Amino acid sequence: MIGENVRIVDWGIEQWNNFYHAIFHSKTPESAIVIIHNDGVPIKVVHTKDGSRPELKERFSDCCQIQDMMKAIYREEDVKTVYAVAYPAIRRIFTRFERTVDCDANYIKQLFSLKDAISCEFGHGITQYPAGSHWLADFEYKTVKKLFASAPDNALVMLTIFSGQDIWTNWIIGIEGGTITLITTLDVIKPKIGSTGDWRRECRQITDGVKKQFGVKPLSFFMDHETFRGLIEAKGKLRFFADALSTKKIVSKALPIKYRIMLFLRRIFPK
Amino acid sequence: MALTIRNRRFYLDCERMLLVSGSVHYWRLDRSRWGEILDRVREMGFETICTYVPWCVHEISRGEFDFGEINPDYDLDAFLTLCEKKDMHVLLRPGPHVNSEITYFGFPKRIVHDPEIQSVTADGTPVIFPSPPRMFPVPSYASEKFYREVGRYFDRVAPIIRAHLHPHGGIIAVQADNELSFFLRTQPYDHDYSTGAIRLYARFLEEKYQDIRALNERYSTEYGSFDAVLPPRDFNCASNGANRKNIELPYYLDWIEYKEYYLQYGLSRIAEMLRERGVETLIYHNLPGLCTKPPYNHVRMEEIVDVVGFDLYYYKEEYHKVKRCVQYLNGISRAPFLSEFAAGFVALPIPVKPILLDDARFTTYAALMHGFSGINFYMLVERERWVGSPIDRFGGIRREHFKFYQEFNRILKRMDYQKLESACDGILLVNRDCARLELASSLLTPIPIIGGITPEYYVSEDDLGFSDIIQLECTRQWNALYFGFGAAKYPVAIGDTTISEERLAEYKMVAVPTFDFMSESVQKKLSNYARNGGHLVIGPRVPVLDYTMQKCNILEKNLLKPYEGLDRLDLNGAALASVDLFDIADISDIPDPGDSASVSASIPSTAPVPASLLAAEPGHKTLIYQQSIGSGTIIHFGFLFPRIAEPDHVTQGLLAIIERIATATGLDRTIPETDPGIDVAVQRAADCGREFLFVANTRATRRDVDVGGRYRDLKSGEVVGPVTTVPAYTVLILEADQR
Repeated sequence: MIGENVRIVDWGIEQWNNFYHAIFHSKTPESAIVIIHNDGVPIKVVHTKDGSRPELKERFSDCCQIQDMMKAIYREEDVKTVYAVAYPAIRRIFTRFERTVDCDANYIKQLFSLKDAISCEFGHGITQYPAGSHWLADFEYKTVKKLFASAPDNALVMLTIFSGQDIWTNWIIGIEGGTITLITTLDVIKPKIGSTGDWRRECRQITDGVKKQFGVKPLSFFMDHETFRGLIEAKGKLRFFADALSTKKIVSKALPIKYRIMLFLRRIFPK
Repeated sequence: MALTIRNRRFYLDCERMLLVSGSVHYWRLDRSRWGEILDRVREMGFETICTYVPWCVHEISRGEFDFGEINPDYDLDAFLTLCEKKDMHVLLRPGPHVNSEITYFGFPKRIVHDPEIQSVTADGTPVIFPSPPRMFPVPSYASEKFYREVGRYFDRVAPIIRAHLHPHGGIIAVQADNELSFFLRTQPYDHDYSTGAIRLYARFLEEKYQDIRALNERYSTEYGSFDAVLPPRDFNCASNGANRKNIELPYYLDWIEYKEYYLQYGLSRIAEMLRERGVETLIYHNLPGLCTKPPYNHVRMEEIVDVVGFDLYYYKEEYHKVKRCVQYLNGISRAPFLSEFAAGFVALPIPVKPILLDDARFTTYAALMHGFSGINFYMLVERERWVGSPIDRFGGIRREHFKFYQEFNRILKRMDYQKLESACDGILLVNRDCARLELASSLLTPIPIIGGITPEYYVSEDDLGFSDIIQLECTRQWNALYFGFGAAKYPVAIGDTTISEERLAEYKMVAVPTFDFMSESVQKKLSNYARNGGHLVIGPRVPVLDYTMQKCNILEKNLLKPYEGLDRLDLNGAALASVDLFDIADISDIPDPGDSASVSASIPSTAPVPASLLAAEPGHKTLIYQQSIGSGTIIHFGFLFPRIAEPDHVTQGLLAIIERIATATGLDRTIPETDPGIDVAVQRAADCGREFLFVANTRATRRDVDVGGRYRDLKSGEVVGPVTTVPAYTVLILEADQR
C-alpha cells in the first residue's frame, strides 16, 4: 500500500493546491450540534460554529431521553445534524484503536483500524439525528486490498486532470512489490512536453515523456476537470469510473489487456 | 558563548543581530547541489541556515552510524564545513525528535517500537501518532531507557557539533529536541501513565509539598507516601457535593502543573545531555504556535534553555493567531523568536490546506509588524514531502517566492529592524491558574486539542462551586479584552501571570481576567504592581481564594464589594451577564472593616474614594470603578463580557468600555480608525527616533483607513494619509516624519 519510506517529491504548488481542494474542500462544512452526555444525562451542548450553547441544555431539559432532545433541538435549531456522544465513547474509540492497530502494517490498514474503532460506536456511543447512512461502517479493508491487488505491480500509475487545455493536477504513483514507493508529478519533465492545445491528443505525448524519464510506461488515466468532479461526488465511484472509461470521458493508456477486453464488452453490451 | 540575549535581542560577538534564517535539509539534497543551493540562499539575503540532524537517518543499527561514510549526502561535517566556507551561520537541531515530515519523526524504528520506551495512555495502551506514511507509538520522556539511547546518538553527533561551534565554526545555536508537546495530545488524562511517568509524578509532588502531611492536608487524604498518590485519569470533580467541589480541585490542578513539569523535565534532560557532551552554545527550543497555556509554561522552560520560540504555520485568514503568538513572545519571552515560520507546506496525503505565497505575503509581514528578534523560514529549500519553497531541490528558483524573500530581507535592512522595539503600553495576561482549571476540566480526553478546537468545545460546564463557570469564561473574558483593545486601536502585549514583577513594571496597564481563586504569589505580584504605580485591570470577580482554595484576599481587601447584581445588562449592544453593581456614593459611610454588618464595601474608611468609570445608566450604580492603591490603581469591572470570537463581534458597547479603561490607565490610541478588521502596531528605535506605524487589513476586501496623519509608505516611497487605502490582507509599513 503506502511504503514506510515513500518519496513524495517534485510537486507543483498549484497542482497540490488544486488536488487538495478537489478532494478535501469541495463543500463548505455543514453546521451541527453535539450533545455530550453521561448515561443519557446531557453535560454539554456544543454548536460546531458558535461554540458552547449551555442554554440549549436548560431549554430542552424536559426531554426524558437523549433521542428526544436530539429531535427537539434539530426541529428548533438551524443545523444539518444533531449528534449525541456518550462521554466515555471517545476514550473507548482511542483505546480500541490503540489496542488493535498494527504498527507494522501499511498506513491504509492502520486507518481502517481507526475507522473500525469509530464504527463500533455508531448507533451506541455516537448517535445522530437524522440517522446517517453509516456507509463507512460497512467499508472494509479487504475491499481496498482487492482493489489495490488489481493494480499492476512494479509499475507506474498516472492520473492527469485537465482544466481547459492546462494540466490541473497530475499524480504519478510508483508501485514496487505491492507498495507505493513514489508519489510525484510531471513537474520535473513538464518543460520537455509541448502543449498540443488538445488534451486528448496530448495523452500519448505525456505517457511517452514519463516513460522516457522513469524507464517504465505508466498506466495512465486522463480526464477533464468536470469528469473528475463527477467522480469525486459520485456515490458509486467504481461504476462511474468504468462508465467514464467506456464512454471515453476518461482516456486510458497502457491498460492491461483484460481490462481493455472488459471495456470493449461494456461498450457493446452497456447494461 | 558567542550568541547571547540581552534586552530581548540577540547579540553575536557583542553585536546586536537580527536572527533571520531558513531551513535547508542537507541529507535530503544531492551533495553535489549543496554549494549551488547555499549560494541561492545567500542571494535571497540570508546569512544563517537551519537544519535538523535526524537520528533515524544517521543510525544504521544500534550504535552504528553513517555520517557520510556510506551515503555522501549524510556527511554533516562536510555540510557544516561548506556553510563555513560560504560564511554562513548555522542553527543546528539534532533532536532526538525532529518531525520534519520524516517517518517516525526522526526516531529510529527500534526506538518507537520498544515497549520500555513507549508512552502509555490512561487505559494502558501505547500512544499512536497517526501521521502518514506510518502511524507509530510515541516515546515517553520519562523513560530512562529512552535517554540512554538518546545518549548513544548524542555521543556520536556531539563531536561533530563541537568541532563547528562558533567562533571557530558556523554553529551559533543548537535546538534541544523539538516541539515538546506530548506529540500534540495535550488533553490532561490522555498520557503519559508509563511507570517512569508515574514515578516522575511522585517526584513532582514531593518537590512541591516536601512532606506528605502537607499534601494530605491539601487533598484531605491519608496517603503514607508520595508514591501512593494515584494520578487522576478523568475529571471527577463535578460528581461530588456542591459544597465540597472546589476543595478537591488542588488534586486536579496539581496534575496539570505536573504536565507542565513533565515537559520541563524532558527539555532539561535533553538540554543537559547536550551540555554534558560539550555543546556549549546558545540552546533553544521551539513549541507549536499558540501554546500559551498549560501544559506549556514558557517562563519555566526559559529557565532551562536560553530561549523558547514558536513555530507558526498560518493562513492569511488567521492574522490573529499570528498576532497572538508574536505578541505573547514579546510579552513573555527572553527574546521573541519565531523558530519556524511557514515558507511552503507539507506534502503528505493528509487533509491539510496548503500554505501559499499569498498567505506568506500577509503573515510574514504580520509577524514583522508585531516584532521579533529572530525568524527561521521553514523551508527555504524544497525537498521530499515539502512543496512551495523559494528554491527547489536542484537549486532552481521559484521566481515569485524567491523575490518575496529577497524583498523581505531588503526591507529589514532598510528599516534597521534589529533596532526597533514594539511600543505597547499595556499587557493582557492569561490567568494561568484558571487556564490550568480549564485544561483540568476537559471532557474530551483524549481528542487532541488542535485546529479550531477551543476550550469551549471541551470544558466541563459545572460551576464547581464558584461564582462563574470559570473554565468556560476565562478564555471568553480574555478574548473580549483582546479583541476590544485591538478594535479600539490600543496595542497591548500578551503574557501570562507567571511573568516577573519587573517585567510587569514596564507597562502602564496590566489587564487580566480574574475569578474567585488566584495563587497567593500572583495576587501579591499584581498588588505590588499597582502599589508601585501601575494600573491593574481585573474582573469579573475579585479573587478571595488562593490556588489551594484557602482564603486569600490580597486584592479583595482593597476593593468594593458588590452592592447588587443583575443577571443581564445590555450596554449599547454589549450583552453583559452576571453583572455586579457597586455603590460609590456610599463609600464615605462604610463601616469599620471588622464590622460583620458591612456589605457594601470592604476597603478601609481611610482609603481614597474610588472613581466610577462607567455607570449602568446616568445616576445609577457603578459597573466599573477605579480604586487608588499605593501610587497606582486597580480598575475592577464586575461583569462577564459576551462571547467575542472574532473582531466583528466587537460592539459599540464593548468599545465604550475599553475606551473608559484605556483613558483611565493612560494608554494612547494609535490611530482614529475604529474598523475592527484593521489592526495597528507601532515600533520605535530608541537611538535614532525612527518610528513605524504598521497597519494591517485583515479582511478580504480593501479598506480606506484613517491613520490620523501623514506618513511615508516604506515600500512605495509615497507620502500617504490621513486616509489611505489598504489592499486586502496587506500590512502597510508607514514611517513617521522625524522632523
